[in-house]
Amino acid sequence: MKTYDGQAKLNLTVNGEVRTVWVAPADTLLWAVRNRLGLTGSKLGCENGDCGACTVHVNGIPIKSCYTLAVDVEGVEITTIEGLSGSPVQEGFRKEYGFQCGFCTSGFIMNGHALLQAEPTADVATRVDWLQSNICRCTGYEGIEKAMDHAQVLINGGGELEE
Amino acid sequence: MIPFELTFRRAETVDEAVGAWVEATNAGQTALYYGGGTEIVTLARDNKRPADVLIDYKRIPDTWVCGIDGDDADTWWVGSAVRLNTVVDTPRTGLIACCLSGVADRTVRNSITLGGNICGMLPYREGVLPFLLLDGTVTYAHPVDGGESEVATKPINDLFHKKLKLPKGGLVLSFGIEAHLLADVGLDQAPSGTAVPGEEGLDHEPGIGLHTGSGGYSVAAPYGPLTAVGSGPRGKWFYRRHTKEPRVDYPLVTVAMAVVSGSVRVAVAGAWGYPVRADRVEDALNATGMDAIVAMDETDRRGEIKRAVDAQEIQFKQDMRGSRRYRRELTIQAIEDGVLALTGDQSGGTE
Amino acid sequence: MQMSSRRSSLGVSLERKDAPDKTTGRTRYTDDFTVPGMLYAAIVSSKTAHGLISDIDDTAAREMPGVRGVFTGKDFPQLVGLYLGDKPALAVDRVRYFGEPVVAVVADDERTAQAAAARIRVKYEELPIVRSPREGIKSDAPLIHPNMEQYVHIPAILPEPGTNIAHHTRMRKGDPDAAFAAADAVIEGNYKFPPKDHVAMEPRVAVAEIKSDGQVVIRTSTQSPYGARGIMSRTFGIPPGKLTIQTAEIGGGFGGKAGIQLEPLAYLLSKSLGGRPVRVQNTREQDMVGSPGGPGLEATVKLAAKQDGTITAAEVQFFFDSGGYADYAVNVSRAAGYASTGPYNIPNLRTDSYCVYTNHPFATAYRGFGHIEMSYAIERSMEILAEKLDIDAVALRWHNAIQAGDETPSQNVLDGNTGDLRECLDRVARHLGWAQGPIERIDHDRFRTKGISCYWKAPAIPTFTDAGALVSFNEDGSVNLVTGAVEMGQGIYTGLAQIVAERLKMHPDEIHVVQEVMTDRSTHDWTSAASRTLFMVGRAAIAAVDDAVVQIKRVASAPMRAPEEDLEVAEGWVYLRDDPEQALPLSQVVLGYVYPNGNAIGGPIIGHGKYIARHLSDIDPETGKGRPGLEWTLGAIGVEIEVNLRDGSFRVLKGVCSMDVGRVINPALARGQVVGAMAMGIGYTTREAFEFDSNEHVLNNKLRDYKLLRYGEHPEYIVDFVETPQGDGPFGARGLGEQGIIGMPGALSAAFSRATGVQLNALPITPEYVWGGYHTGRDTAWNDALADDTPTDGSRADDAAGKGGQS
Repeated sequence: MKTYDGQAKLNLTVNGEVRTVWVAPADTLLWAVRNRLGLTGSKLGCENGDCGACTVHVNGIPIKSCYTLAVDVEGVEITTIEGLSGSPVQEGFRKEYGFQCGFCTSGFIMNGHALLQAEPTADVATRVDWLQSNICRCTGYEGIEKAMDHAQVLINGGGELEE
Repeated sequence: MIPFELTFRRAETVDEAVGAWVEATNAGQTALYYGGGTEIVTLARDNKRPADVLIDYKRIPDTWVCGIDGDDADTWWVGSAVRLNTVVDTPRTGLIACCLSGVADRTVRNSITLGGNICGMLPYREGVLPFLLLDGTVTYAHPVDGGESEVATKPINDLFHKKLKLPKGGLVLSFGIEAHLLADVGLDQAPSGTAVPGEEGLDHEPGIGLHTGSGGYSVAAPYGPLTAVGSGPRGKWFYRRHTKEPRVDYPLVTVAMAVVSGSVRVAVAGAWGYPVRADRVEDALNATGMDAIVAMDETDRRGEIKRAVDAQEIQFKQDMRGSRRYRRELTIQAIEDGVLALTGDQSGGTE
Repeated sequence: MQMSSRRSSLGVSLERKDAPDKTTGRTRYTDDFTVPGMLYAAIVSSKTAHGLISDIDDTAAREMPGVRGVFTGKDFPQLVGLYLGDKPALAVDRVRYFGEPVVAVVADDERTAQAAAARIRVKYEELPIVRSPREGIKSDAPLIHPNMEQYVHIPAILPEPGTNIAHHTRMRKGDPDAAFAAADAVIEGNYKFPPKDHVAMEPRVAVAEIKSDGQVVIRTSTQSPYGARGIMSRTFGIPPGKLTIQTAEIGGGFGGKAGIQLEPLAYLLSKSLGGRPVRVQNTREQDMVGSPGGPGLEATVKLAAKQDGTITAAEVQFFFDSGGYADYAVNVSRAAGYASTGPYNIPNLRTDSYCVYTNHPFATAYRGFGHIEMSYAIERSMEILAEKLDIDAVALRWHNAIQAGDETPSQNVLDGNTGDLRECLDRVARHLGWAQGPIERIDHDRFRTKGISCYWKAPAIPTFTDAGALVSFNEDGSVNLVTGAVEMGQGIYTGLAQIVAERLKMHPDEIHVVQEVMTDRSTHDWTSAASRTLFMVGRAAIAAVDDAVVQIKRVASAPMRAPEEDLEVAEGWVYLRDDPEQALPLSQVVLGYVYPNGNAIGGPIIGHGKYIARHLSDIDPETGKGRPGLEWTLGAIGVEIEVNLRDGSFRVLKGVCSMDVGRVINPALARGQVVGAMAMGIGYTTREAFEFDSNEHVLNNKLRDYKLLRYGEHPEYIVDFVETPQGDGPFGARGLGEQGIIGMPGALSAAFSRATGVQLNALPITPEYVWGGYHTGRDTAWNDALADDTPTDGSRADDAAGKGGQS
């Protein structure tokens, strides 16, 4: 039985790299990526699992990293916003004004990307089910909705993208 | 940030987990079994120290089951470490998927385990509703003298009073429902396969959620309460969840109902705070008879339902989400709608 | 040079300059910076709403290894305030609201700081509580600030010692008594809502350090770097040149990061610890309750009208719930006062707007700055008047809409720059299908109803509000723009780049906007608030460009052997107006021109520009006469909702906004501001409010319990800009960042009232409130004595449309 006590040495696989970090068992994954790995794209918005600004992927599945102990994810593939590039969802957010202040954006993109990986043709209701996990205070969600539309057109074809 | 130190132990077997609990207790420490961790992390952040030692049970194979177990084809099992979305995303789990998908939000349900939802400290515990309703069982391990562990399986309705009352150090391994009951109400193609969180990741089967209406049930209305119904050859089920405003919230009222062998069953969460198998409501409805209730005019029917709801004799919860009277009203409405839905034709759809 | 057919940079939805970084997680917000040697503070918050601090036991905390200091209000007695210095950084002797910071612990790391904070025991001697502003103004109300007479305040703010009134604004115009006496119809209504929070996604954070030469450096998430510097400088006697405020991009503001926030505490803690860097960061809970939110309101409005709907007089009383401290709320109550007719031409007016201390979390600027509160009370009254006179709700507003030539409450005549409200109203009515009627029954329980409202807003700013801008150039002729504007989501850097690009006829990609404000090297700027940034900083940027152009021409005139006045600068060239073939690329001029023989002239060109508000004046304390508003943005909001009266559940189907913005610089950014504000307005109206227990403790200080609009709950948005140019705005533009929220509570309340047949005069409008109103036939917010068995059968009318509908 593995026991983590005091300061624990962990091998975390983050964005494809194995990173060795020292954490306390009470440290969250969010704290570890921000403060031990310098990956500050994941944001601390509520530390209570409510806002989704800290969303990262564990084996491709979105989870809230403020809600997850770092010791609980040793040995799995962790992806943060810094590990995502060229995602159609990122392009959608960029082109369709899917953000304003940007603080919730990493979390929204991580969740939206995971959704379209799992269900590229996700319908409106599925998008609502998934994206209600995140809170945006600036956009009124219109830009985010258009960003997801944009990404789905990039993935699935059809529709028209404005230049 | 969690403002104190704690110890995290990852058990690989039931004996290790229970042994770790005994060890901690003997050392004068408090210990908690750790599933998805969402609730423990929340409480800890508020400086409500949940325990000195967290014992992670998610690597214990006994907690991974999800489906009909080969040795016991009579029972559908779901392990306590199975994440809520694993069940939600499994086709044809209808009522069970509904009850689990009401918890928190989609992303958080990737973390929350069934054991964590049912055994946690928050009172809502909606995951337990289908097990209360369909006379499920709970299989758990607990320490016995000498530091050994013993595994027992008991009817959940015997152990669940506001919360699951297990012997000290008890660890839930799985929950079960008799397969024939699931078949009766239309949940016969129970999911199979296992989820091994933390190792191969969470099995994710896209496709089926509450909204798709293709799992033998249907939902309606883009706002307000979520309602779903489904049916099998010998029974039907009904689900209603009402929140204050956004659906990502604790329930004002969640009602799960089923007609099994001609009589109605009711389980309720939220309305009275904790989940209740509403036996007195059932008795009252069954005494009058569902068909008789449906045949009444609107006013009489409402009066009948109201009497049945009040027969439970538990005071409705009142908090910032809703007043006592509003919760009572929504409960009455849900059960009235449930009675109507469950006595209609057998096609089950309400769309 | 070849003159190209270059597209204008204005009116174009340019991709945001911050898009690449914000979509890859690379934008650095305040908490993403760490300073070597940084210490961490943790705050102990008050657990009572009003009490005397009788004992603080910090022994256990001090004994913890890693703790560098424990501080209480007694250590930092200086009172800080924007207008009225009433608030210490940590409570001194007395706490005035639940959640008020009482003790700060500083430690080597965050965990130690929080663990130590958890060990501190504070005892209180409970004091009687003021639960609402109306309670607060009673003569026998407990005094929340017994030493008010000692507080320092600016002349425009008039606290009343011996009361809980922090400020009282009077607007007096015409002869309201005579008008009421002569009226065909008089209506009166009472309206209210509790305090609430901005919930910017980024919690407030400040890191302060003091260098060995005394230089104070504070990195903070503020909308107001220069404002914070000014207040800090005045309060703590730090020469402004010795105090640098640094602000990277901030994660949303909405007014909540204007003024002064965590900077004083961070500074005082650093000062107490030898100048070491100290970080003070709010948890979400502290950010919601410890730091300021938006004010609550209780209001009474009386309107007098002729039979034809002409409003002849208004009597308005606003009681703002400022909470334990005044902060911006004094000016919020003042702004609501001088806008208190709403955008209607009402010749006779008596307004009393009070900012009242209560034992609630304190209030500051909140998007709309008093106008959302004012508008809610006025628009509710318009609905009640329309009902009373049996006049269509849109027609009543159209008839009374304010226009150029009309007088504001502060007795200014609106000039030709005034927007066209009637056009906005017409457009909203058209998009909403108002002509088809405001109420439609879908089935037994479900109704669709519409609501409409008008709004106006002028920035509530000091009369000397300013902005500056510096333009410099690079070797390739591209441009750098330095301003004091803070990016908080509004896209200001993109908008400014477009303005500069337009002025220089260059591509916006060639305009590099410095995306950080540092008060020692940026240009002075009042605050990024009040929807004035694009207007004022835009004006300053244009002036800076023009200044640079003059210099470019001067340098170029020698090698081009042409008088300066014959030269033009555009598209990266300086050229002869009448012979554009004779041209020099800017790259050869902006850092100095070098002749073939090596001789050089000119040197780096630096253009400077400035702007200061024009013709603003303080208002008269007795009558309100004066010119407080720079430019009024006018507009209308419409909504369509669907309500299920059986359980009160509802959805906002459509939100329509038409606004006269003068000139649209970037349509997508402008729409984003309006749509975001509308969404916030929907939340404001339907769910956002602090819930208090009987001790006035806030129950919903987490996002688990304080509910915001989520994805999929948003309506279909329709935004339709009217463009009547603002003569003094940059290319005719006027402010638009806040306005979309202002009319939303009024429009939604109208729609809900129409659906239930009951005028619902309180916020938030929750499903339970809708259900209660419909089933009891009265506004349940004013009497909560409904019994458990309040009839929910039988009282239901067969046709709600018949009960409350207006058409």
